[in-house]
Amino acid sequence: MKTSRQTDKSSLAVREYAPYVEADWGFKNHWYPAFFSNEVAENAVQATTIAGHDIVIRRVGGKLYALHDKCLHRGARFSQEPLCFNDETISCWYHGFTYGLADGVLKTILASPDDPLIGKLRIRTYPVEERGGMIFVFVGDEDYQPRPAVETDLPARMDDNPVFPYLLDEDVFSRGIRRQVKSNWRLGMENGNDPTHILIHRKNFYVVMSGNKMPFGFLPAAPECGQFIDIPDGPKGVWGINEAIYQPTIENRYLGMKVPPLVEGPRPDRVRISSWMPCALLVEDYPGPQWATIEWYVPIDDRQHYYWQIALKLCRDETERQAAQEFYETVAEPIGFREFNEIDIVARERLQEHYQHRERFGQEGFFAGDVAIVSWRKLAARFNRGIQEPPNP
Amino acid sequence: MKRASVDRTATLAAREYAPYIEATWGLKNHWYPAFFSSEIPADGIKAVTIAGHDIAVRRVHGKLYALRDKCAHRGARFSQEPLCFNDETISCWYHGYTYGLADGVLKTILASPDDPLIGKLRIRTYPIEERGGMIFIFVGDEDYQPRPSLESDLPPRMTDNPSFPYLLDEDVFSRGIHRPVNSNWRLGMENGNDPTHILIHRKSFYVVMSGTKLPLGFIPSAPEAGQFLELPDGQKGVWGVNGEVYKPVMQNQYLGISTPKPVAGPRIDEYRISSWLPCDLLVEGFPAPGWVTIEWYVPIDDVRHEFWQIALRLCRDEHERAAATEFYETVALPIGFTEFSHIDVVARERLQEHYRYPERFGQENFFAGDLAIVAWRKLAARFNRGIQEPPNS
Repeated sequence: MKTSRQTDKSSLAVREYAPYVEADWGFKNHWYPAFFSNEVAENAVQATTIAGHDIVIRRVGGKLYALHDKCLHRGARFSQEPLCFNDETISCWYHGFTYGLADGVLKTILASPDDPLIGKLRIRTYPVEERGGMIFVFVGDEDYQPRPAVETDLPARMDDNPVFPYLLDEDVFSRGIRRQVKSNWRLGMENGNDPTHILIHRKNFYVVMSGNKMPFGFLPAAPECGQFIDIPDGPKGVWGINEAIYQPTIENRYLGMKVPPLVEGPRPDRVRISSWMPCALLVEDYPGPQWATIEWYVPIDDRQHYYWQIALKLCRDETERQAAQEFYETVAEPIGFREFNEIDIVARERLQEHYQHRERFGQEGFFAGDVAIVSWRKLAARFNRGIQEPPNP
Repeated sequence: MKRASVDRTATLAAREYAPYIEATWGLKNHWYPAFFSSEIPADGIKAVTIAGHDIAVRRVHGKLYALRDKCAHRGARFSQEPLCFNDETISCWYHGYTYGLADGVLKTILASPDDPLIGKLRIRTYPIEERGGMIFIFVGDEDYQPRPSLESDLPPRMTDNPSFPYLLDEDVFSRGIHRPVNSNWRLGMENGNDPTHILIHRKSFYVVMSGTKLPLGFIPSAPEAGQFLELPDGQKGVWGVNGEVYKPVMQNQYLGISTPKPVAGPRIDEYRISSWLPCDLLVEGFPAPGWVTIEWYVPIDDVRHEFWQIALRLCRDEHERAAATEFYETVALPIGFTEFSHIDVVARERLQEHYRYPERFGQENFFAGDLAIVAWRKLAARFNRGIQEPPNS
């Protein structure tokens, strides 16, 4: 009976975020990170798959071009063996179908220079922008207008944080990693912004060595917990852990457990977390005080996502930049991104089998700690620019 | 706009070769190569899968028998652990069900000599022929009548080629290899007989070291390019590259590319290619002048084929035969079949992801150079002896 009441409640909830339940392949018509700038060298060709879109990118004269990574002739992928005869085109390795980088139009066929198909066939192109050392691609409908700014799909600048490093600012140090995770992208979002998942981090080197103990979790303590952060013409988000509106749980009497009093010193548990459309997480004060981390859980297909993590820090001069670099290489990446966050990846992949059936999003037995997840779902249902359809078979 | 009209053309074309699109598992009621003779020694047992048929072959006193490789008791395969108690039967390793090699009838059960099943159960047998150093099996319906000649499913004797080595002739040297490839069999046929796929061979050692340059491709120049070749013994084929009905393309002005004049000496680009039912390719002039290659792309299942290549040469005496052996071992096999043809295997496997959906056959944007592929599809649609159903459908 308890179960059936929960189910009723959750079907009510589902109705409030129905589009989210359908978004197996992600949301379309958003900007997604595709590469770090240094991954696409001059004249290099690279390929990625985002939300089921196979995309090939070439850099010529510094400028980036993104096209559908599939020849219209017989379906070969350009990226299987990149072939470029000049600076304006990309050719298929199989029969030399040659497309304009800028417009995707078939310019020539190597062995049939007068072919009637020339000038008529076209592959689609994708808007691409290089900002803050990263390459972003606008993925979705080719004719989507007006095209939103990249900024609308990045975490917002946090004005109340005096040392906030905004990704696109000049004086910001930014380094990071990307890896492939075998879970739907939503399980990434719903782990990162979940205020009680920190249980899984309790044995981390990063936590244990800090001399602190984490609380058992955080529970909502103010109505703002479930509210949208709706910046006009800008990013849309919701709060995860935020000590101003959440309270830490430090005792469970039934289990006879209590978090010991905190010792003095820098506290790694003073993070503030927020989730942002289309699939970004902002963590302030991680992986160290005054740093910020952005994570993205970029859909690849319906069961994999690219897990991005970048560490950001304000650096006003070269000395600060060198210190940031050293911290990144010795702590942030090895201890933070790799050691601390490994268990997050494990958690997502563990849940994938259950959530491969999309209706499972909405059949949960949610408790008080899940406000952040539910409000994220509602936010996504409200502000997405379209549900990505699966690629046509 | 343009896309729509191209799609309509493709749909019309697809209607003309609809049965071919359905032939994911191959064409049935044809002869297929199964082994080289040397692969089955006296009393040897080998197993092969052709077009979804699991077949066990046993040689006794020189004679070959082919039966379904599956015990009618509980589905074990004889070939998993060959067991033969005498010269007339094959037994299952699991419970000793023993079948007659010639008729497939259950002759005894090891532990139940008076069992009522004996004489009643039967596994199917397959017609098998050993010719030209190879073992061929007729794969398809057990009751198909009249059974066509093996010759009807081999490339024909090319009477206008004075040094043509016909596989079944006595004075022909024949050696070759076969290997599994992870693509549908049709991608083998449609790569081999494709007059503009030679782009992928431009960097091969075989081409570069010969001093010749391959043309950019070949384009049809006479109506015969697309016509069916119907021969008296029942062979059905179409031309691929053939200098008389195709013209080489030596220049592409848009790309500013032209092929240098061939140097004097033996030319490796003077070959002639034709495709034959059910899945054979004949290449005259490869791997060298005076030689002929036959390739087969024998369906294993819906996503794999066995890639056969044999090199043939007329040898009127032992001296010529010794020279042919040396050429085969030092050039034809390592440089021709292995080095040169490797990229063909790669190309087929690269296209498999796209073509795993049957309807993709017929959704291409074909250009002038694709006449040979379209003609092959129509030929196969017109003259096949049946579309192989998937096993146990």
